[in-house]
Amino acid sequence: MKLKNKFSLVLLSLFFLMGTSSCDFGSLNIDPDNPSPEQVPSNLTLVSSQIQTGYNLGAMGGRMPGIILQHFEGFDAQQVAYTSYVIPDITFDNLWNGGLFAGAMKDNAIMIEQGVENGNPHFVGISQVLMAINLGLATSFFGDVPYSEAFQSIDNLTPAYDSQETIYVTIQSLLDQAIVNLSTSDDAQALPVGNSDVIYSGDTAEWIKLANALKARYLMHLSVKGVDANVVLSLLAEDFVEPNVPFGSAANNRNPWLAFSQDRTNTMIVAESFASTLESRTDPRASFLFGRDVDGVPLFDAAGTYWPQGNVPIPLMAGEEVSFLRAEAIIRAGGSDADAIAAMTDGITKNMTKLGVSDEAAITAYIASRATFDGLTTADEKIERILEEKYVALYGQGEAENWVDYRRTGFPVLTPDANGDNGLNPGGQIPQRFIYPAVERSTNVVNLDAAISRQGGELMNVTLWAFQ
Amino acid sequence: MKQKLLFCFSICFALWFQAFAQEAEVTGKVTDATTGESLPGVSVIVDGTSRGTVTDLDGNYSISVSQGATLVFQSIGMVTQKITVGSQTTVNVSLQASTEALNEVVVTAIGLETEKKALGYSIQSVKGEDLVQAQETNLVNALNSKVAGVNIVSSSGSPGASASIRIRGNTSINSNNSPLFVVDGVPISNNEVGEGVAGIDQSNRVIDLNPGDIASLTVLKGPAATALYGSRASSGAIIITTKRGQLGRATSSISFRTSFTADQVNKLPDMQTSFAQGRPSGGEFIWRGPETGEGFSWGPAVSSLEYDGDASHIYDVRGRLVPVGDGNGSPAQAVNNTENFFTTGTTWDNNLSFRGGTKDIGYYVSFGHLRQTGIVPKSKFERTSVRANVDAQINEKLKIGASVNYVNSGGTRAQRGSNLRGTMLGLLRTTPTFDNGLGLTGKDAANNPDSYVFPDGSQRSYRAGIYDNPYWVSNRNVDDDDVNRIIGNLSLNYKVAKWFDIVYKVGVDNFADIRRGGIDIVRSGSTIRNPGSAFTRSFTSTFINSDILGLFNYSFGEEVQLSATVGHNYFTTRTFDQLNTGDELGIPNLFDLGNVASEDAFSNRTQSALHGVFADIRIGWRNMVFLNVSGRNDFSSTLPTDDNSFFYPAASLAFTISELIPENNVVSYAKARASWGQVGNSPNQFGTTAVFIPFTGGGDGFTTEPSGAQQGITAFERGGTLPNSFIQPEITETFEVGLEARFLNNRIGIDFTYYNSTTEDAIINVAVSRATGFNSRLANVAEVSNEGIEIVLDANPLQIGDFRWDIIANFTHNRNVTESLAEGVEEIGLSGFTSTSSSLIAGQPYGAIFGSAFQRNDNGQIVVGADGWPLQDPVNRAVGDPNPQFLLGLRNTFAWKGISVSVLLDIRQGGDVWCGTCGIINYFGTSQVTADQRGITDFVFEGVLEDGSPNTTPVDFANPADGLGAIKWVRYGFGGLSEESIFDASWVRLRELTVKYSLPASLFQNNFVKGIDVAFTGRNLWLSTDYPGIDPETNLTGTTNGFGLDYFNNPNTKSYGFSILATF
Repeated sequence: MKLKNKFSLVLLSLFFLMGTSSCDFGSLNIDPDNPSPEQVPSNLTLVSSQIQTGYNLGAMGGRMPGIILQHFEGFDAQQVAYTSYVIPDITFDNLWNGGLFAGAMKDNAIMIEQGVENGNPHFVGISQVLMAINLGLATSFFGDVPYSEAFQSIDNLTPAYDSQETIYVTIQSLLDQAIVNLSTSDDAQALPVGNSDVIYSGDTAEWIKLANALKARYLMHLSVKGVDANVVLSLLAEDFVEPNVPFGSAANNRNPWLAFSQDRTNTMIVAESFASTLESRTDPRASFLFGRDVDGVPLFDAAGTYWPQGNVPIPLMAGEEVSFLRAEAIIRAGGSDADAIAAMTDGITKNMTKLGVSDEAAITAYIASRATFDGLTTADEKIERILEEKYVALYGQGEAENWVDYRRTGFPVLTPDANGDNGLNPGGQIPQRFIYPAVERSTNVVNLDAAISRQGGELMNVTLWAFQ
Repeated sequence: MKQKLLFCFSICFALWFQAFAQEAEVTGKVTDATTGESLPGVSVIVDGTSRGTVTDLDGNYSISVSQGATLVFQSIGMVTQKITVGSQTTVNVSLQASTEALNEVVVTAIGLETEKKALGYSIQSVKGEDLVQAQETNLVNALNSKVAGVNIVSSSGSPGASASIRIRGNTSINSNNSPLFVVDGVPISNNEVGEGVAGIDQSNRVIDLNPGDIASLTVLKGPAATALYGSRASSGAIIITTKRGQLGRATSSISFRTSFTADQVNKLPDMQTSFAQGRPSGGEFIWRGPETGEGFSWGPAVSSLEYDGDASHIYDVRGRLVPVGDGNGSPAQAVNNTENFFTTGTTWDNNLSFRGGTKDIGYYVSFGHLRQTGIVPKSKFERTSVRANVDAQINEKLKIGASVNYVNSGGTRAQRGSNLRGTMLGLLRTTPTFDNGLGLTGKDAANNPDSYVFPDGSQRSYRAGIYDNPYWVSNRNVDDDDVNRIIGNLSLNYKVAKWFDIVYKVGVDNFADIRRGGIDIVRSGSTIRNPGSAFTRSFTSTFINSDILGLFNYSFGEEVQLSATVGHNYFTTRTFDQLNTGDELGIPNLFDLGNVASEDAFSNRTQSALHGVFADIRIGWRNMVFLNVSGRNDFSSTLPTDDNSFFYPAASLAFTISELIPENNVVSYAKARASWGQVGNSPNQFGTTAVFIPFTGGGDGFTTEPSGAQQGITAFERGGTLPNSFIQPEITETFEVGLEARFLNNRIGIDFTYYNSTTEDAIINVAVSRATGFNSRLANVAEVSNEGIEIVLDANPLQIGDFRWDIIANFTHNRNVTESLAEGVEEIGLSGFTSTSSSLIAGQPYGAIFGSAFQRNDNGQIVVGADGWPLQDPVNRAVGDPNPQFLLGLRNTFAWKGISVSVLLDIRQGGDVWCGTCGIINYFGTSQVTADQRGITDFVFEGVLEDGSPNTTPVDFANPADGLGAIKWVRYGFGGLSEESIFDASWVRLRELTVKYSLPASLFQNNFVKGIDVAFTGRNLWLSTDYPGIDPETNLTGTTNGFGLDYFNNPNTKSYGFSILATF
């Protein structure tokens, strides 16, 4: 072949290339390391959703209401400002993003959809329970939140917000559906749940009890709107087993209180008012909840405290909460004081046991002085006592529920922070809600503004629908 | 496709066999027409062939030519001369220097050498010598203030720290905007692995290049200039030509250069030394010591305290602090820990090179070794570079060349940024009543374990290990890297005919970056503050590039000159990243993965490939009008499989106006130019399909959230980005006009450029409402624009006898705006924190600083609350613009005989930097501002109440009766509002000062030593700025697209250096 011919060939091939509209690169643009959605069954995503939900409750979703409700106060860094209710819109970006909507709730939405398609009703039911818990947390912080238009991917990039009233209906409906799905027989499952469930190991009976107890919790949330206490009572099982989300001490699976203690040392302490209240009641749990340093500063993570430890799980719903819900429901239903006191005693005892209090005499003395309605006459006073004790018992494991209780009843009575009047919390009272995360302002502003105007504002002095 | 490539390759080999012709030897000397000095490195080419040589250090050359042949003498920055060889055997030539000449030769895309006058777009070259003289470890820093249109920001003064470079602003959002670096025709990686807001000072990989090897560097700015590189050069290109040997006759020279530089910290924030550790409690400021873990310096005045003399107090043998009168009468002492910490860094840089050739072989081999220690004790960086460039003239027609550059680099990195175990974070928060160094400073304190560790192994620090003592950080928080890199290429140049060349070039850039280190166990007594961790990381990257070009050059008579280039390019990249981490060390200070309680692993691969075909046609008419039209079509693997092709054209026109006007003494030269071009850029890989990823917990932000397998179960979740199977390339379109003119017999020159570029369909991961279940979606939705002016001015105001004064000024103005984002999206963060970030906001400058601010009414007045304090706006907004209004590099050079003094001033006007550091040290009460102002009482803030009436309520800045939360610098939260920490980062600095002396040639009669140059170089010796933190030339996130953030960044340096260059 002559040189010129060869050259023409080269040129020809170049022009040939120019003319083509695509070039085949095979699978070069397929991520070689991460699986496609079709490769990942629900039993490899359920654990992500469960751990994330536990972390939501024990990290931001625990500390922030804990600071508002004066279990804790800031000692340094951002937590000092939070104590004075300087809680700007960016504060909850992380919880909203990786914790709730694009975190556990996304996992649940996917498992519900896949479970329906693939015939895995148990996965669907568990996911519905987890969805209800996360949705409950979200609405208790922010009121109106997206749900009915959410998780639709490209089909709806700016989901509208559902009113809080609708959200509470949705929660009940999710739990009802969960019970139906969890009641299907084991034979009806294409994929058994088994040990991919790190909470109940696939025991659907326990999940059903939890779903019912949660129904009770969310009915009680609406006590201001009116609640049928007998229905609440009917939903609370005597043999409730705590849905514990397991944690450890390694960085990739740390108990959230331990993680905060190690990663943000000394930025948050136990509120002095809470510490001294426990001490004045000679509550034997005091030394399991805090320890004072040389200057008397009450540290939440002093040696011997219970919550900031590896291997301490975070319950999705504390056993104590079930007892106290029962106690309150008994009073609201006009039941006997004795029954209510028994339920309250049960809650306190469970908590003492959990924390490791072994001084029986001290326990007995405490119960004798606190688990009583002596001198209390009205139902309100009795509920106040029940909620005061619930407030102590849910320390570390039901902070968000304590805040709901406060907002629906005003109990326990608290004094707002002296420097709490600021641009974000006009009036300086104990906050009624959190400001929507900044991320929604940058990505979904039209629907956000609609939700804000529907609720009469988003600053922390605005009362949520549920508590109006 | 691969077969096609192989086919192309084999053709080149088929062209080897050609005959030799009869020749005679011609020798001569090339000199500078102005100075009479000999000119080394001038290429001497036999016209119409690829055969040639280069003059040696004395300007001598020797070449075999046949009678009647024409020799072309070419040198960058010089007028090209052509001389036809008759019967003579000696041809001496003198060339005109470029500042006095117009036929300057420059390197353009894909290594083509072109006369500058023929270019219809702006490019600018920097000589290798100017890069070496800067005495910068990082080549990118050496370019600072030397090229118009280029903005360089070093991330810090730490050894090996990265520097970002932008040519004409940022055009892309998802892709990095660093230009393409091309070394001898081969694109190389300028990746920065691991950049982020925390961690360590990382390197950008161009730091691996040894500036001593560089012959020249050309900056290609717009699409018309870079079109042939295609989408890879969508942010401009830096074309580096390394030194090569001389073919033609036996010659050799040895060059040895050694330099020593001392570095010192050049600017630090002002720290207070008058108030003690502590906080308000019970209505007064009380002292709280290190054992309490107290973080604040809101304690009593140091002057009101004395020691109690209790020698058993482990933190200070003088005892605890008590009010005057209650102790032993020894007054309390305070220290400026910040000033005490930094030490003098040193850099030794040695370069040895051999350069020469024989009749048919030319070679350049070099060995370079640089060893740098930092101003942060124990930090260091080392680079060893070996290069061999060999060229061989196989025959009259065929020339081959090969280059290999092996580099070993790495060191021990300085911890920095938002890193609780970082250097500056612990240092600047340290209270003045605690001496981190225990009486010692700098290296001495770092070498004395007593300063940072107690005998029981627990840490000695001002707050009992909550933040690390910085001397502990230097010793116990280790991050070492070891990079092995090979960059090589092979080129074949075959002259098919006088008017036609075929060039084939294949190059490889491969590096492995191996890192190890960890964070030591931190204890305070028996309390574990941090259980310690260890890691190893291995990052490997491979670039392979192949080009085949056909080069045509043809004259149609005297009037029309035609050149054309057609070519094919194949470019592929692969990276592999493997990170192994372990937690809970068993034995302290042993960072091995065998010494951990739990281990975690992460790995990630990327891969992409690109085919490009291109053509470029240049037509010159009467050496006056030049038209250039080019087009390139890319096929990118990262686009959807069935639609992965995209085409983009460019055109430029140059018109030498001065050809039309008669020769005169005023206007020596004038050229107008205009160009228009598009360049496409394909998306990052793997964007077209959905994936699940290992569980990555979120939801907190304060803690390390759970991740990976949980309770022994493999855990996955869906990836956060919604894929896009219809993604298109983003296209940047640039229009550019320019004018070059020289006046007064070439003594003054100006090069003015105006450009306007728009990137449409810019690819972004648009943040979406998380209620969709995704974090973001990949889409072509944004629009980014750049508009700017570049002016290069040079002048020779004085020339009297041997004295010469030259001025060169580079002026850069660029306005970079985010024109639009996706509908409904208000802001997209580029880098930083949720509280303050460098962001994209529609209608705002690119990278605008987004954060918290005070409430303002419609008249812009600050709204003040009933208690007299300004209110915080519940909504974040743009609070700063980090883009400078203009940059000006101004160099004055004075030369007299062998002595030259060169002064480079660097002026930056405007551009905000967020001093996050300032907000935090104000919050903790360690800054001088808080000492000066904490006593202010009854201050009335200017502003209005919500009803519009003026504020009249007085407040106290720090009244102990109101508690900690009421203090001015604490009440708005950690670090205050973003707005309060935005500062103008304008500066004037003496970037370089060089005094050079070349020893007279008369000293070297022995013929062994040929020359000795000695030089003193000062870098950053003087800085004037109103910025309150460290040197504002800094960026928290290195080379990322976000910029203008300073959060405990490590400071910058000023340097004094001395160098000797000897040639033999």
